[in-house]
Amino acid sequence: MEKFITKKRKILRNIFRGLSLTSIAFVFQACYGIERDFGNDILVEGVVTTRGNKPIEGIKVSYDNSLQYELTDSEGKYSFYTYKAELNMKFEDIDSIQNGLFLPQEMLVHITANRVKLNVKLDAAP
Amino acid sequence: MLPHKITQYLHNIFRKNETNLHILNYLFWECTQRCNLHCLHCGSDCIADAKTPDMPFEDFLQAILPLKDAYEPDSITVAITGGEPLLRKDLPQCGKTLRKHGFRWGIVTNGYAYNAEIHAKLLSAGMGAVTLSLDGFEESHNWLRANQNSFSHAVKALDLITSSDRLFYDVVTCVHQRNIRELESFKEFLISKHVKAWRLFTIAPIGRAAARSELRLTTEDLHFLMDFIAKARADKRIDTKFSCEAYVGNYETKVRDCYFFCRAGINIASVLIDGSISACPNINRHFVQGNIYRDAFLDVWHKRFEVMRNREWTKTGICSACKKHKYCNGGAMHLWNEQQDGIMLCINKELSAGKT
Repeated sequence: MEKFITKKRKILRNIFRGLSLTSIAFVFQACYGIERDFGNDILVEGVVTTRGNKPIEGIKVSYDNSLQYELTDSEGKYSFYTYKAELNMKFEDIDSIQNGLFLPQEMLVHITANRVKLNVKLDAAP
Repeated sequence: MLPHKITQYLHNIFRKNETNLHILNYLFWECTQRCNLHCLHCGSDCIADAKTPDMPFEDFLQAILPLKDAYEPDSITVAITGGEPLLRKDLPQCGKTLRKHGFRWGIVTNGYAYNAEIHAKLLSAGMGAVTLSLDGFEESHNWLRANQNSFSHAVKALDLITSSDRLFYDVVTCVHQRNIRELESFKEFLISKHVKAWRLFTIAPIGRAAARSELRLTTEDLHFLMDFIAKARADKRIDTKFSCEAYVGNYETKVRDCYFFCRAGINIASVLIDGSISACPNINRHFVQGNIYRDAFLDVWHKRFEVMRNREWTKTGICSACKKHKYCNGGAMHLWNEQQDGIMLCINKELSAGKT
């Protein structure tokens, strides 16, 4: 019985949604709160390793000259969110010899899903 | 266009239906009570060294993870608030973990500690929304925030926030007797800063504000504010609105997108600094419904909150004989205290008293 009533209420809700023509009545904001976030974003994650598959810590992962960057952790992992579907990604060794010396790498990435895995192998600096 | 009485009637049916369904899609997390400012009007009475320690993120996360079984996590916005959330060093990590579990999240900030570095980190962590407090020009803002550098810091934060195409954001301004006459020029300032959304509040007599009468607007000021918002909305240069803090009678829909509807306990819940489960954090703590350290959050949401979902009890004090109660349903929950014997103030009543 309760399920039936809830279903009825949900139908009524959808009728209101249709009648209002917009989602204004549903897209509320708490009076001391933030706006609701309906943006599209993409999770880009991966592992940075040596050619021999050893994880590299401290690699700066950035894109498009934006302020956003991540540093790989001790397992070489990085992850970040972005809303861009095309990224010019950069992988740079910025900690000098601390975790070995590696050549920078750039790549253009086209993103078609909302979660992307991008593993990268860096060449050791000569 | 349907006549006002019909749309208001339909809204009441809508409100009742939403109340019966009580779908959770807005969750406050009071992650800290520490704050880097000491604002004159603070509703939480936050200080630099709060007595209650910050809540470990893992405690909050474990409490809310069962929500994923009941709702689409993507439909739930976690509003991280305080205190000042930026004082938590682990904020980006907290946010990213929430996002990886599917929840949307954002922060309410005074902007004092918001800089390019933290901005980038928060964006990388999947932050989707920010509300920034900016209470007028330098003199007014710094006075209310009790800090001579607070305006310049907040404006730097504003520049960063507006530069992002990703963020949903708005500026909130608490209107009081000292800044109300500068709203027009302040609006131009915000437009020049490319701000798209602006919300205006009055200051409720709770927390520190209870003792400061100069923060309260007079009836004349309230009319001025409503007329200002209505005019700003009409010229459409910046999306201006009165916050959903009170029913405002004939100004309803002229000063915001839809009718007043306090959704505390209906669509909005919170986890407060000590683990208490409530609705908006500024609601009197007498109305706490449970605690994450003893209760299952989802059980509390489904089975309690009756006091917020059935507000017949609010027909008391000045509301007892008020014909508008059917529209406001007792007004905003944060304006009720533990005695539950009458609302602290009714803006509609003040507006009506000023009619000539």
